[in-house]
Amino acid sequence: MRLDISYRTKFAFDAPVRESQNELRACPVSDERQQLLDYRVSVEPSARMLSFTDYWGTRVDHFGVTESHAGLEVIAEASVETQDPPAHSAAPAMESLGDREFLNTHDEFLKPTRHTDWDEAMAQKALEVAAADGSDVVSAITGLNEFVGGRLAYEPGATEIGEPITEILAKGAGVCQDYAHLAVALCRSIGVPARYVSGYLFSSNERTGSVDGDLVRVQTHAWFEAAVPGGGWLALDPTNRLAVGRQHVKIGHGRDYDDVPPLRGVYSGPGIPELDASVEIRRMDPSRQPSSLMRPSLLAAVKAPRTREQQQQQQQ
Amino acid sequence: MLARHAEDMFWAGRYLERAEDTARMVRATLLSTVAESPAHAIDRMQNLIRTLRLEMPAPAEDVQTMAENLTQSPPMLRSEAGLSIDVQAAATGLVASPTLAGSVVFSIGCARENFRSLRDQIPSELWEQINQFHLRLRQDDFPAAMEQDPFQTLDFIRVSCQSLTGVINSSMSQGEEYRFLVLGQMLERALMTCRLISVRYPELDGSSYDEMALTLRSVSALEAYQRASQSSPLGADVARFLLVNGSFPRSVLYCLRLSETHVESLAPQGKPPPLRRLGQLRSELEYADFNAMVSDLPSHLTALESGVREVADLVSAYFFRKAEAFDLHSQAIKPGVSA
Amino acid sequence: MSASPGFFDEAVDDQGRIRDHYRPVQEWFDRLSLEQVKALEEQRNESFRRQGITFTVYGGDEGTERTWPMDLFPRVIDAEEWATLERGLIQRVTALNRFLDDIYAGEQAILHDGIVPRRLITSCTGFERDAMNVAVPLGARCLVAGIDLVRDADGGYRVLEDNLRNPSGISYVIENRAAMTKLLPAAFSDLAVRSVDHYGRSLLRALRSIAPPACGDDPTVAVLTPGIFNSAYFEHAFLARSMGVELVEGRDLVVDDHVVAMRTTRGLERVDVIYRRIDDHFLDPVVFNAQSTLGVPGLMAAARAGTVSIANSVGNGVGDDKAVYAYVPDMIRYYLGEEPIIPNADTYLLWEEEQRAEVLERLDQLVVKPVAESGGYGIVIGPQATDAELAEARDKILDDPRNWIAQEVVNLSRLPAWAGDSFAPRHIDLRPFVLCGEQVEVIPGGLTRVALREGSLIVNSSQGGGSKDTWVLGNSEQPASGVQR
Repeated sequence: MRLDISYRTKFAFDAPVRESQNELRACPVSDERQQLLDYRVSVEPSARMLSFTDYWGTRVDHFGVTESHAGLEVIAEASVETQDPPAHSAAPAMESLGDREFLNTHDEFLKPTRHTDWDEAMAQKALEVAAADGSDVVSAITGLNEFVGGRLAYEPGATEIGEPITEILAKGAGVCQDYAHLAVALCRSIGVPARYVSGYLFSSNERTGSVDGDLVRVQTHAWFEAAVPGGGWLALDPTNRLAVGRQHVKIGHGRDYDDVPPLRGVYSGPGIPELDASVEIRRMDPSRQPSSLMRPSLLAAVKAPRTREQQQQQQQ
Repeated sequence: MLARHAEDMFWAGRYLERAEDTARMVRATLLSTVAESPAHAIDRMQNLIRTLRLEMPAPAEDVQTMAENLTQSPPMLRSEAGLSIDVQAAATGLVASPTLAGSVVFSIGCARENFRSLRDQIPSELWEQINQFHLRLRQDDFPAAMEQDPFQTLDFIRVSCQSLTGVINSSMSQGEEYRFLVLGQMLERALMTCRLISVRYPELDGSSYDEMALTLRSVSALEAYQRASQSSPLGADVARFLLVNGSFPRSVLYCLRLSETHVESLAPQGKPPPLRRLGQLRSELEYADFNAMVSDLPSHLTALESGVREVADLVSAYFFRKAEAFDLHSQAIKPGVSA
Repeated sequence: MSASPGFFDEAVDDQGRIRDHYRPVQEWFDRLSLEQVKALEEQRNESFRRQGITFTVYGGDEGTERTWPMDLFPRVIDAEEWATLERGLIQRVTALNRFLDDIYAGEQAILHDGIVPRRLITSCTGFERDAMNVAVPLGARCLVAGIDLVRDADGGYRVLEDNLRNPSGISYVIENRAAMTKLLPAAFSDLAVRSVDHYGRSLLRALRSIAPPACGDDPTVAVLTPGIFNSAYFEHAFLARSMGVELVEGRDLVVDDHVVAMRTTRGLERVDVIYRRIDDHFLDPVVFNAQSTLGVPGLMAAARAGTVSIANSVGNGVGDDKAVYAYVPDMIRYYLGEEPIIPNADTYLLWEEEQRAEVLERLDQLVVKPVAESGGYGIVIGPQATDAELAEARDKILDDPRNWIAQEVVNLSRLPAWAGDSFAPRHIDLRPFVLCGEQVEVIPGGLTRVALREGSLIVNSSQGGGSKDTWVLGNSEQPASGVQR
C-alpha cells in the first residue's frame, strides 16, 4: 500500500525563545516490510539539518534555531510503500529463550527501563497469561498482546509521559504508548526480548484500526515487537489487538519511548509553548484495500505459507 | 576573551576598588573623630555610611543576597538617632563584617570569587596574593584586630590593596583582562569620588580646615592637593580638585580619561555605545565652566554619577553580552494524543 | 592466596637493605632532624594553602575543601623498571583505543568474533548509544588515560583499574614536583629525575592532533569545566593555563548550524577541539540529561557533523567498566597480537554463575567493587569487612551480578610516609597518565597515592589518602629532564 504521510508539529511560544535545539525522529524506516520512497523535512524559521542514522537504525534530523523566535514549525513528509509482514512459521518452545547466543544478542531488550519497569506481580501475571496460551514463545507473545489490549481502556489524557508502567496498569487506562510499554514490560518479565516501536497507523480510529476513506488525520502511533528464537521479530499492536500489517508504518524501535521520541529538544527563554501536532496520511493507491484486519484469532493465517504475491513484494 | 571572564574581571576590579576606597574613607573618618565630641563623631560616621551605602555593585544573580545582607547590618548602623552608635563598632562593621554587603571583607571576598573563575587567566602571583589576603581577612581574630588597633589594621588593608594593584600592574600583561579589570576599578573609583564630594560638599561650605582635610584624606588627596594648590583648602577648590584635576589619579576626570582609553582599545572598531557615552561624559566634565557648575554642584554630581552608571551598563551590554545560562525546557510529544 | 601475605617494600629488599635507587633519597632523609621535617611539612602546607591547591571531599550534603596532602618522602622508579612500565602502558591504552573505536565507529569486530560477549557491552552503563558512529580523528577516543597500577607481594606491577573517561590528578603530579623542587632542592641535584612539567605542551599537541581536518593549521582548543564548584576545578584551570587556552563553561558555548563557538567580548569565536571535564550525561541536554545546564545544547550533533572534536570521547565508560576490564588482556591479544606486558589483577565476573558461586564462598577473602564507580566508592574489602558489610555485599551481588566484580586482594606495596613523628611504611599505588594523539606518550612517573592510615589499603584522596612525588630516574642514554621528541 502506498501511503503519503505529513507529520506537522507547531510550537507557539507566548514569549520569544532565544534558542532551541531539536531532534526529529519521523522518517519511516526501510525494512523487509516497508520501503521509503521519499522523505523531506522543513523547518520554519529555517535551520540547517543534520541527518544521521542512530544506534537503533532510525533516521534522526537535528536542527537548531539560534535566533530569537516566537514560533517553530516542523513538517516531515514521507512516501512509503508497505506490505504485510512475512509469516511466522516458527513456534519455538519457551525453553529456547534461554539459549546463550540468543541472550547474548538480545540482552538490551530484556532489561527494565524507565518506562518498562515491571514489578513481581506483573511478572507473575505475565507467566500466567503466557502459560494459558500454550508453551511456545509465539503463543505467549500473542497472549500477552491480547491481555494488554483487554486490560487497558483506551483513554487519551489518562496518563503522562514518564508515569511508571505499574501505575498505568493499576489505572487500567492509557493510549497506544502505554499499551506498547505494558506489552514490552510483560514480555521482558518472562524472558521474551521485546522492543517499543514508534510509527504511523493508517486508520481513522487508533483504537479499532478501522479505515474510513483515503485520508486520515491522526497522531503518531506506537506498538511493539517481540523476538522469537530463530524467527526474528514478531510485531503486534496491542492498542487495537491487531497484528502489524500494511497500514502500519514503522519509524523505528528502541528499548522504550525514550529511544525513539518523535521530537525531543530543549529551548531557552521564558516562553511556554502551545503545541499543535498532527499526522495526515493519504492512501495513494485507493484501489488496493488494506489487508483484512488481522485479529489475533486469525494469527493462524499469518503462520500459513506465504502467497506468491507476498513473496514477490518482499524481494523489492 | 570570553565574555563571562571579561565580566568577572570587570567586577573584580570594581570590588577591589570598593574595598580599598572603603578602607581609606573609614581610616580618614576615624582619624578625624579621635579628638572629637561624641555627637560630632557620630555625625561623621553617619555621613560615611551614607557615602558607602549609595551603591552596592553586584552581579545580577547576587542582588537578592545583597539586599538581604543590607537589612542584616549590625544594629549599631541602624540607629538613626545616633545616640547608641559606637563609632568604633561601626567602623569595625564596615571593614570586618563578612555579611555586610560593601564591607571590606565582603568586597575582597567578592573580588576573590570573580578572580577564582579566572584562575587560568590571571598571573598565579595575583591569585596567591588575593587568596592570602582573603584568608587573613576571614580569620576569626580579624574583627578583634580591627577593634583593638584600627589604624594598623586599616594600613594593612591599604598596603595589601596597593600590593595587589602592584601585582596587577607589574605581572599582568596589558591585554583585555587587564583593561577590563582597570576599567572596573576606574568606573568604581569615579563613582566613589563623586559620591564623596556630594556627601562632603555641604560640610565644606565655609567650614574648617579639618573638614577639608578629612575629605581629601578620604581619597588620600591631602598631600597632592596641598602641592597643587597654594592657598589653604576652600570648599569649591577641593571639589574642583577632586573632579577635574587631570593628573590626580583619584579625580573623576582622571578616571574617565583612563576608562575611555581602555574602552577604546577594547572596542574592535568604531565608536560603540559605551565609548560614545564615556566620551560625552568626559568632555562635558573637562570643558565645563566650573564656576557655573559649582553654583549647582549637587545636581551636576547626580547627573555625573548616573552618567558613570550608564557607562557601566553599556559596557555590560556591549561586551559581556549577558552570557545567561541556558534555562532549559525539554519538549516531548506523546504519541496517540492530540495536543 | 595465603591469608597473611607479605608486602613488597619499595625502598628495602627482603634482607632489609636499602635498594640502590632509593639510597640517595633515604640517606638524605636520614640526615634530617625531627624539627627539620616538621619545618618542611609546615612550609609545604603553607605553600599549598597560599596557592589554593585543594581538593573537595564529598560526604553528607556538602563537600569540604582540604589542602592537598603530599607526603615528603618521594617514590623512586629506576630507568629500566620505568621502560617496561612505559611499554606496557602504551600497549594497553593503544588496545583500549582500538577497542573503543571498534565499538563506536567500527565493525564491532571483537563482538562478532566472540572475543568480548555482546551483552557485556550492551549491559554496560557507560555504553553510550548516542555516541554511535561519531568519528574521532586518529581514533584517539581516549586521549588522556589514567591507569591505576599496584605491586603485588612479589613486586610485580598489576593493572588495578583503567580510567578512560575523565582521569584526574595530573595537576597534582606537577604541583607535587614544583613543591618538592622548592622544599628539597638539594635532593634533585644528586639525581637525574625526569621532568613532568611538559605535560601542558604534550596535552595541547595531542588535542590539536585530533582537530577536525577542515579547521586548518591553527585549531582553537578549549577546556570545558563544570565550573568553580567542581572538586577538580583547580585542575581544569591549571590545565587551561598550562596550555594557554580558554577555560570555558557550558554557558560560554553556543552551537550554531552544528558549529561550536564561544561567546567572547568580540562576538562568537569558533572552537575546534574541546577537552571536556564534564561527564557524558551532562554534555548535551538534547541527547542526555535534559535538565543539565552544565552542558551545551547541540554539542553532540556538532561532534557528529565533524565540526568539533571532543576529548575524551563520549562513551569511553564502556572501556573502563570493571567487568570489561577483565577482557583487556584479550583485547591486547586480539588487536595487537601481543601478550600483555602488565597483567591484570585476578578478577572474577559475578554474572558468570560459576565464578559467582566461588566468590560468594570466599567473600571474606576478596575485594568486591561496583563496575561503573570510580574514586574508591562502594568498594568492600573482604578481610577488613564486618559480617554485616559482607552480608550486604552478598545481597547486592545477588541483586545485580552484572554490576559487581571481585578481585583477589592485592597487597599494595609499601613505602615510608611521614606519620606525625617518624617515617613509617604505608601502602601506595601509582596512576601514570597516558596521552594519545599522533603518538602515545606516557608522562614519566604519575600520581603515587598513599594510604596515610596505618594498614589501610584505600589510597583515594576522597577516602583519606595522600600523595607522593614520583621520580623516574633517567639513564645514561636518556636526557635527565623531559622527554625529547
